[in-house]
Amino acid sequence: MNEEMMATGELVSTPATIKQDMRELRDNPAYGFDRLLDVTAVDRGETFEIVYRLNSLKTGRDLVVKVALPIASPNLPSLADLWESALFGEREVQDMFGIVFEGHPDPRPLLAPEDGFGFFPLRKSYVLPGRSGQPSGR
Amino acid sequence: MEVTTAEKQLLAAQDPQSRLSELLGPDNVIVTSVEQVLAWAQGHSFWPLTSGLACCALEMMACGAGRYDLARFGYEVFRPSPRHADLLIVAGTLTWKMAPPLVRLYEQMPESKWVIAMGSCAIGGGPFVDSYSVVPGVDQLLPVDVYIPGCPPRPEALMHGMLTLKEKVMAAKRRGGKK
Repeated sequence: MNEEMMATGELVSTPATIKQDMRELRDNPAYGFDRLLDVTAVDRGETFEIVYRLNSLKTGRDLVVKVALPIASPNLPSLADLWESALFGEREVQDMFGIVFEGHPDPRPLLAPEDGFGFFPLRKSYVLPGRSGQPSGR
Repeated sequence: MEVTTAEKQLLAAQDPQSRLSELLGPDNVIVTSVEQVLAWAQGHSFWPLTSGLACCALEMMACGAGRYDLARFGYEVFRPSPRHADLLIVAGTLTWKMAPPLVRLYEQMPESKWVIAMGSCAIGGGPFVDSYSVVPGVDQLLPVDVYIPGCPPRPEALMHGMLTLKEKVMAAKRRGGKK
C-alpha cells in the first residue's frame, strides 16, 4: 500500500489482512486492480506461499501479492467474492497443496477426482511412487 | 462381350472352386445359424461412441474422414449417444478425474458391446504411467477386447484394430461363446 509496492510491483501480505488488502487494491481508484489473473502457490518447505497476480485494465499495471502460510494450518479467506476468477484458481491450489480457502462457494475438487487424490501432489513432502510402489528414481 | 457384375457373380457361383459357390451350395442357399448371422452383422457394422480423450482422438477422426474412409468397412457411424453405440474406442490418456464419466458411458451402452484401447496411454498409461493423475491402463476399469499400440496409432492401425475386433466377434459366435 505504498510507493515501494507500485515501484517493485510486489506486495507481501498476511493471512489476517489479505482480504482487506485485496479489497483496497480493487476498490481504491489509486490502485484500480480490477482483474485477478492467477492464483497459485509455492511450497517453501516451512511455509506455503500463495501468489496472486493482479492486473489493472485502467492503468495497465501488474501487481504480485504474496502471502506466507504455516504448513500446519493452511487456511486463508477466499477471494471469490472479490474476483470471480478466483473460483477455479483457488480450487486448483486446494487440490494441489491442500490449502483451505474459507468461504469458497464451491470447494469441490477441480482437478482431483471427486473424493480427492488422498494426497497433495505439489507439496514437497509428496514423493511420486514408482510402478513397483517404491519411490521413482530422481 | 461385356460381362456385368451380376453375371460375374453367377459365373462365380457356378465355379465349384469359388468361395461364393462354397457358401451358397448347389441350390444357392446359405445354411447358417441366427447367432452367426448376428455376429456377421455386428462385426461388419460397429457403431463407435463419439468419444476421445487426447491426441489419439485426432487419428480416430482422420480415420473416419475421407482420406482413410472408415465407411469402407461399415464402421463410420460414430454415435453421439452411448445408448446407440456398441463400441467404445478409448482414444487417449485416461485420468482418474475422467475415469468415472468414461466408466459411466460404458455402462450406459447396451449389450452387446466392445472396448478398444487405442494407443500407449489407454493400454498402459503411456509416458504418464508414473503420474499420480493418470490411470495406468484402461483395462483396470473396463474389459478391453483389442489393444492398438502406437503413440498415437496411425489410422491404418485403428482400422486393423477394428478388423481384428470383427474377427474376434465372428469367431466367438462361431464357437458359440457369449462374446
